[in-house]
Amino acid sequence: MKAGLRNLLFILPVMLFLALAGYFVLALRSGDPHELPSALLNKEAPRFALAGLNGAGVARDALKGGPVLINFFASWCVPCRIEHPLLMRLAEHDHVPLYGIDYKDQPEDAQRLLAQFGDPYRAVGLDRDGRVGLDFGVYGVPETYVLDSTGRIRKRFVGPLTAQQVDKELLPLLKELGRP
Amino acid sequence: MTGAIMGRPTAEARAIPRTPPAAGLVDRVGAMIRGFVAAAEAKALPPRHRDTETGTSNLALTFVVASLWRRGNTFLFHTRNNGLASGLKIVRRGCLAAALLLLANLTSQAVEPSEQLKNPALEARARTISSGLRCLVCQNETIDESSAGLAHDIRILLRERLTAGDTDEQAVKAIVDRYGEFVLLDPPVQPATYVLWFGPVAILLAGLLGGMIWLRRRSVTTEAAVPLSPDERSRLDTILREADR
Repeated sequence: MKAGLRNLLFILPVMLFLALAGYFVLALRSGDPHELPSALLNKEAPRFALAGLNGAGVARDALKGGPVLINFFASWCVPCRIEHPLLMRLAEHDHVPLYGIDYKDQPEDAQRLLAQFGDPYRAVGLDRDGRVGLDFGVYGVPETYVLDSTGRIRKRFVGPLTAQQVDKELLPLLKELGRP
Repeated sequence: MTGAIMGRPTAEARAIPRTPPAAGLVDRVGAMIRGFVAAAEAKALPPRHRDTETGTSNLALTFVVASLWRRGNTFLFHTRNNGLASGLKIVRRGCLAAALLLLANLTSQAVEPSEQLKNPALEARARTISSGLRCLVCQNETIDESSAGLAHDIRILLRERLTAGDTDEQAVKAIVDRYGEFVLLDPPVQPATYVLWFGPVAILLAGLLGGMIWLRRRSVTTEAAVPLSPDERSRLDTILREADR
């Protein structure tokens, strides 16, 4: 019995090492370190009021009352074009009101983009110097935020939205937030 | 309802590697290698366009140094036996290249003159704070070093807060509120990070303690040797006396 205990004492460091190494391997493989959760998760979205690209502007306080999607995009952003067809489909099916924020961009370029590929947004706000993006914690475009009816940020999608993310994460979340 | 959105999987989205911004040649090569590795792993990395401005001036200097270097080398190969004069020339060129290289290093900070505050004390505080903040685009660089657009934005935000009279803590909090504790290169000391901060010391102490116990136990067993019996002592004395003679 005592010999067994002694042996255990010798094996213990090895076991500890293996446990630590296993944890590191898991942590290394647990997804992309570039995909950070929003620091504002479950907090109220920063206040903003932006002039519109085509007429109506976008302001935080006007968005309260139902879940909405805010999509940061730019005409110079290549991955934004990848998610664009998906945004168009979201808009067609009217899953959720979709608002765009044109990040560090020239209005003419954004207008040309939307004229060419279609405009999925109810309204687009112009964030020319990226200040609203900075307040949201945007660190690259595209980024998509889900706001609930009280204006809290419930989810951030980093990078272009995928059909899988829409089906597995976005639509269930919208259902939970009271959007049929 | 859910099926309606489900379309073709964006295969092209997965094929395009992420394009991290590169501040210099080394970074570029690193980024390329990372791209290859990502492709090789066939890992589904969602591409993102990152708002980048590469350090052009830094790159240009590197090219100048590199071309000088190469010319120096051709000199070396073609004029090997041409005597002292050309040898000196090579040395001079070498020195110039080294000086330029040094200069390139000295000027490789990303903080642009237009960003700097007029008040040197405030600017010094900003520099100190920003060298502890992570740039989220190129994650192992500080915002003080990074030439990414986002780092520029955060530097400006930081300086605005300091000018507005924020303390260092308030200014840092403004940035942490937006980007999370991940921006802090030194993780804060809090219950979740106790293991990180105190784990190594704890393990060292445990090792020392274990070693001490082990050593003491060993010395105790040697000290506890049975003293010699009178019989043994007299035999020992005889042997020692014989040895003395």
